[in-house]
Amino acid sequence: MSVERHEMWEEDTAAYVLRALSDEEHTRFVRHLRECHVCRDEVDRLQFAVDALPRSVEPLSAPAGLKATIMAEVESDVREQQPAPSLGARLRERFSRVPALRPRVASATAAVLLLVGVAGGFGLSQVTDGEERSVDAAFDGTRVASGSGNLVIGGNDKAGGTLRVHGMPKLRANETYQVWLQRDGEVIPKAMFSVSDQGDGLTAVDDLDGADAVMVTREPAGGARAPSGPPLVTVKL
Amino acid sequence: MANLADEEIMHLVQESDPRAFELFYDRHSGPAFSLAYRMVGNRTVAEDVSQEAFLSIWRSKLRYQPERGSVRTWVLGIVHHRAIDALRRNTVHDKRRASAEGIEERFEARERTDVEVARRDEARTVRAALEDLPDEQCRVIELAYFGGFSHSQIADQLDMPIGTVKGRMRLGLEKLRRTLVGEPA
Repeated sequence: MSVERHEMWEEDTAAYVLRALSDEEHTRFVRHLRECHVCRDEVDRLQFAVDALPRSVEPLSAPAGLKATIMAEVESDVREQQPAPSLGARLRERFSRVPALRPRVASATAAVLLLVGVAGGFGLSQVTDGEERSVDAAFDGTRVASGSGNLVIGGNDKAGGTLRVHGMPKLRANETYQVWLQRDGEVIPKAMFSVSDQGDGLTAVDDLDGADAVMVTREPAGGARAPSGPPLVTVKL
Repeated sequence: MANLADEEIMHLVQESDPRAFELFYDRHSGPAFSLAYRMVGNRTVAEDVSQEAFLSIWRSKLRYQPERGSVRTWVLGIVHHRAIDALRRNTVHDKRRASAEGIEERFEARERTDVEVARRDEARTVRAALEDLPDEQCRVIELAYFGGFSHSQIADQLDMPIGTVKGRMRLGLEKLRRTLVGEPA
């Protein structure tokens, strides 16, 4: 790392720890951090100050009803806890509840959705540059007219990756985008994220080792335990 | 279970123990809601932010890494991210303006326990360190951290070059760190 190259970035350290960089700048700075120990040290130092900021806030009590709402969701999750069925089974079960669809039609529809959403057919491409690889995301063109994005995966899949999307539909106040990981037929809930007015969003995706696909659905705020519909975004791995 | 350390409770939460999660909530909901309310300035949205943060911890089994800081710091980091998401979704800024200044809702924590007294002392110490910063450094830090504004938005608001904003953020955080750890300037 040359001194000149480092100096290009050092002014960004504080904006980075305050989360005040744009999504693009943030991604570039994270890449720089991987190779610059000087900036990593400064980030660690400044992070100490940032971590103290929320402790300056006047202490308030959380509203009484909030705990009941959250624990009701938690208890419901625990009751439902059982080996998760595959996405196909979830979709078949979901469509079987639609009275207008006969079972054979519903089953065929779910299979088509799976083929469209999970198997792709949107023209995937992968670029490998040695240390990390970028996998293009495929979008459901009927719901995301002009979507684009990719998943940048570190050299070791276990380290996770960064999913970046553009052109996503705007969320309502009570909605979130949620990431799902498909592995060995199971669908695992992951991080939630929102998008800017321009439909740009960025989120980390961890635990990619052995994953078959990363998907994104639109869910109620707080997220869901199982996808509520076919994915808007699919990254086939 | 009530005597367990935060890290031990976190371990049980990751094993999907609802009683551990209830205790986890009891310990961290006050600071989490306080931060959310400070950022979004609206009770309903602060509740939504807190709910999203706690449920995402429960459902996504987000990974806590002890070597990167305390459980409290980790929880507040998640709330901060959620609140910024809410602020950047736009709706909050309107509600925030609508909640007339001066008739702010209050949900002050009752000072009943040693823990709550310690939290108030800690808040006073950090606030004093913030107030000790030059105004222009304190302002850019508060706009970024509590306001959820990007450096370019802050530069627009304050009508100054982006480089100046970044520089003030950096100088301010460094000075704040030195004050908090007791290092000479």
